[in-house]
Amino acid sequence: MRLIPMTDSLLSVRDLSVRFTLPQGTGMGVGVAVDGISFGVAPGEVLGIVGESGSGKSQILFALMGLLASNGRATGQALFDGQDLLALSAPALDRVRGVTLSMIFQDPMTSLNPYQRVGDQLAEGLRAHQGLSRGAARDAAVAMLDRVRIPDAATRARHYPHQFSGGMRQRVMIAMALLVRPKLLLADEPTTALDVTVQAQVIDLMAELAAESGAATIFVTHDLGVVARLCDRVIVLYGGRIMEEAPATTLFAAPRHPYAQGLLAATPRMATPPGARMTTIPGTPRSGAGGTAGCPFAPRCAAVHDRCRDETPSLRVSGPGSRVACHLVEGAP
Amino acid sequence: MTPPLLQARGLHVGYPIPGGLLGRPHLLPVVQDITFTLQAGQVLGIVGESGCGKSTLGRALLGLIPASAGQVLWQGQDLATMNAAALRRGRAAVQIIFQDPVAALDPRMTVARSVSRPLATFEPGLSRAAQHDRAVQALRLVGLAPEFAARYPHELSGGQAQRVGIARAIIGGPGVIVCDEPVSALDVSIQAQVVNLLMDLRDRLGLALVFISHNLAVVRQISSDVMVMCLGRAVETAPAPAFYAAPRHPYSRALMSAVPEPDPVTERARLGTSLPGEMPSILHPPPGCVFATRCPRAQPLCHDMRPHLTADGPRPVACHFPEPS
Repeated sequence: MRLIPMTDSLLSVRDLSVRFTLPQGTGMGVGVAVDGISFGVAPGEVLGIVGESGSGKSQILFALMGLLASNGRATGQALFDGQDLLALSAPALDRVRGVTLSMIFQDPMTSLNPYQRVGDQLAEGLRAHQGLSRGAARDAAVAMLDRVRIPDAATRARHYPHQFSGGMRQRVMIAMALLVRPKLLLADEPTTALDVTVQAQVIDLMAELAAESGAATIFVTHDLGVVARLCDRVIVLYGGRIMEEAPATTLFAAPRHPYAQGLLAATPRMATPPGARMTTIPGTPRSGAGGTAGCPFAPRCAAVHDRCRDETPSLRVSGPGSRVACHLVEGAP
Repeated sequence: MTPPLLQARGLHVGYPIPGGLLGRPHLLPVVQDITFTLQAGQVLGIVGESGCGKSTLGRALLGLIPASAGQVLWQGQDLATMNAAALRRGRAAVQIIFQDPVAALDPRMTVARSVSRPLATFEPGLSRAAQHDRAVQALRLVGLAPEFAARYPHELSGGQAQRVGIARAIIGGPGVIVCDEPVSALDVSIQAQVVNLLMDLRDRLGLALVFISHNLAVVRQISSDVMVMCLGRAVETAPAPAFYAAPRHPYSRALMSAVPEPDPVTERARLGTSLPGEMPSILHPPPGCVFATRCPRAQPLCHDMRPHLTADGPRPVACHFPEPS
């Protein structure tokens, strides 16, 4: 089990909130997607952020990359490599993005330029950020495509995105993100759109490359199975807040927060007796955060009591490397 | 003896594509040689990856796409021989729910109108008030309170919209519902609610279900029988318990070990075991077994000769070298 003191963090996020100004007439004014969360990422570790739709998991990555929609605003602090990502000017951010920080998106088709050859798209980053010559950048791109196991990489580099299958396109995205040798890779549901056997290939590849390059990864997903396969540490997000954070082995063996317990119980697995009713969490996942006092999970929680509705539980240390935000869980000293 | 609710016999479905001999369109075979029988209370899980033909098969079972060969039978009656009026009546007995529950509802219709719409076809002459009452009844059966009747689709969550889709499917009193990836678009906590609801309705209404999904773990929960499809063909069919205890086809085994389970111990051990390669294109199917190019057990025979789904014994499998049953 790995313990990560905040001081050794590659990325240290403090009190991050993401708010969206909503159009007039909705009567809502401001929507809160992420509600004051803090966490760290150590060099080389794979951190999983798990949540259902509306939990704010993708917005965390968009905020770090400076890619929030125009009506969105991130507050707080995100120290990465000695700089606060949230306070950087656009040109300064451009010297970080695509250099030490890169991102893989869920849908590779809409992230690749359909009019540009795949090899040129890869080489572009190297030429812009590292000043490589055309020839050197092309060679590096082909070598990287080969590394992510695109067969016949030199020929494929001259092809356009539509000539690739979904799994191959996601490999291209991974190649593009890792080509610049980032210290931190942000991955937003990179395998969700893929078939299971292809998903398994891409996960294998990401695990291999993470170990080889030493880059840290934040892997955002709704799939606890994918987290179990790939991640060292897990953050469970609900309603824009961290419900529980723990080393993966701890979280899966003994989840403490009622939401983490419910999510794990509701995930279908091969070991449950067939034909049995599945364990559910009643109600509907809440979309967005803030606005109300108390625990965001209180309306769906089976163990809810009065205090949960009035007072927002703070995230307290609950064990080695673990934190839980629940009034019912006694914190360790 | 009453005939089975739903049957497919040597069913083939193809889509016309241009560029055949002399420029005539020819059929791209998307579903090939599918045979099964579905009785009341049975749930047939159809599993496969994108492009395996599972959704096309689902639509062909409803007659939404014509069969290019073979037959679909509703209560023993061949769809191809039924006239428009008989088909309309028959549709009351065979219904469908879709993957994207919100897109499956008309945004300008209230929930009550969407749900009761099939009654205009199946039970013409019913008064508006009676239609509304039946819609409220159906909503109650799927766990939605009467106040949902007046709402519009944009006011619903994904899980609620899927319940509305199910209410619309059951209002005509069907015997069979074809469920095309009914929980894939839903959050995990909601997925479980909808699967449970479908199991409850199966028990209460004596429904048979065709449950199409890419998720073997979900299929396991609800199915009595399983069919694994690969590139348009069934490669294995079996009763669900026997299938999950010991899948016989190498593709079934690969699918099963590729599904990530929420258990780091199992999963860490699976890292690095993924199957290389990709499915061949349906435009250029291999001459032999559809799985031969990726199969860890493939022999020269597998590349040359297509194995057929042998029907002898209780565990048919289309493989030259299957796991013993």
